[in-house]
Amino acid sequence: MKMTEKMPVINKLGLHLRAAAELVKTANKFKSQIFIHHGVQNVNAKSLMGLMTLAAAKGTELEFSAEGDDAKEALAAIQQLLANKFGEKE
Amino acid sequence: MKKISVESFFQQSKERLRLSPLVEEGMTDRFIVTVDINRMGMALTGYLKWFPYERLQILGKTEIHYLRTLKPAQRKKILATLLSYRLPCIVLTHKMKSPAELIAEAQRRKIPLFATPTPTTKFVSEISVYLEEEFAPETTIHGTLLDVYGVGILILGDSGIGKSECALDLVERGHRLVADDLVYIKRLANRILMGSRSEIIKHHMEIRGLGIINIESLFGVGAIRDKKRIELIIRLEEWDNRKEYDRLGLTPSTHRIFDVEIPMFLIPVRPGRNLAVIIEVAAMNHRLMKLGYFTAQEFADRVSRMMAEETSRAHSPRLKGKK
Repeated sequence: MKMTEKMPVINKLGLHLRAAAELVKTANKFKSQIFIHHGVQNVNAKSLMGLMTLAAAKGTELEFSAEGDDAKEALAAIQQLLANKFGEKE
Repeated sequence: MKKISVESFFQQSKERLRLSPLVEEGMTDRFIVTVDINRMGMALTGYLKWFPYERLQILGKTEIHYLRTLKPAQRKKILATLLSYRLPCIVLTHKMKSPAELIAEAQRRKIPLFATPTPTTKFVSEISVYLEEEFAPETTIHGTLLDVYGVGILILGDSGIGKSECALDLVERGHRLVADDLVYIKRLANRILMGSRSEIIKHHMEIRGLGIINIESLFGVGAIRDKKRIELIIRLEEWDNRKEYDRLGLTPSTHRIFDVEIPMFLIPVRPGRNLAVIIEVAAMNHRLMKLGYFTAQEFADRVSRMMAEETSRAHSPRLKGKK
């Protein structure tokens, strides 16, 4: 199963190092292959360094695509994480 | 479509192409959009039916000498016509002095004008190399790129299979890291795939359990490289008992990036398997092959030859008699 969903980064600091680490942790809980498309870039959501190259500031819309048996759950968990601002206050 | 601002073209190549600016206005809002260039010759004579104005324009010795034969009024008129097009920029080659009308018109229209001492033909070939590289198709791939014994090896495999650990092992053995996690690949002329790193990541690596480390400061400049041609791919995979792995190496498989087929080895990972050594050997074997020594084939031929000798000996009557 392959699913795609667009999600915005809403926390103040954007996808900084700690936030990216949280995202990697969440993505790694799932078996699915998870990729993020942004502009011409296409990076693996399970790799921290790749995420850093996105340099996604607040307000950036990222397109997540997940492929595998737990694709739906994976995207839901990621959506939750972004909506919760990676557990940050603002 | 990709476009490069004249400003960034100038900043990147002023030394390499020996460019000096005569008119700097308009550098930030004019763009080079194609790898092609145009010598202005025909357009100067007034033939504008086919004037590829969007290309980088070149005025060489011929053009300047031709312009000098014109009367000032005529010269001004034709230059005003040509510079009314949306040109990216103009380069004056071969140490040519610019006619005053050209500088005035370029200033008025805000068209960047550069001069170079390089002769036209040489300049054309040099700038083509630059433009080919800038406009080369580019992609990114999740993997790790190293220079092992001079062979560019791209390690692919799922997240968590141990690509970074393997790279660390190789760096520790004296090989060089180009990029970890995310490799930028450009397809250059002559089917060359050039791999490089991201400006943000540089030579940082993430090692699970340790966190982020910097290869350059830990191991020194000798342990890193900015770019390297990709010549061999190693795909790491979890050992699958049901799967048949290549035992002979007689028919290497390949992996396609853009339209280039790169030889690939599928290496199953199991605890206790020293991947760094396997990759080192793969690199050396690749070099042997480039030198014309195909180990697997030579071995196969040797076995066949010995079998043939054995059979002919068995059938030879003289030897039979001796027995």
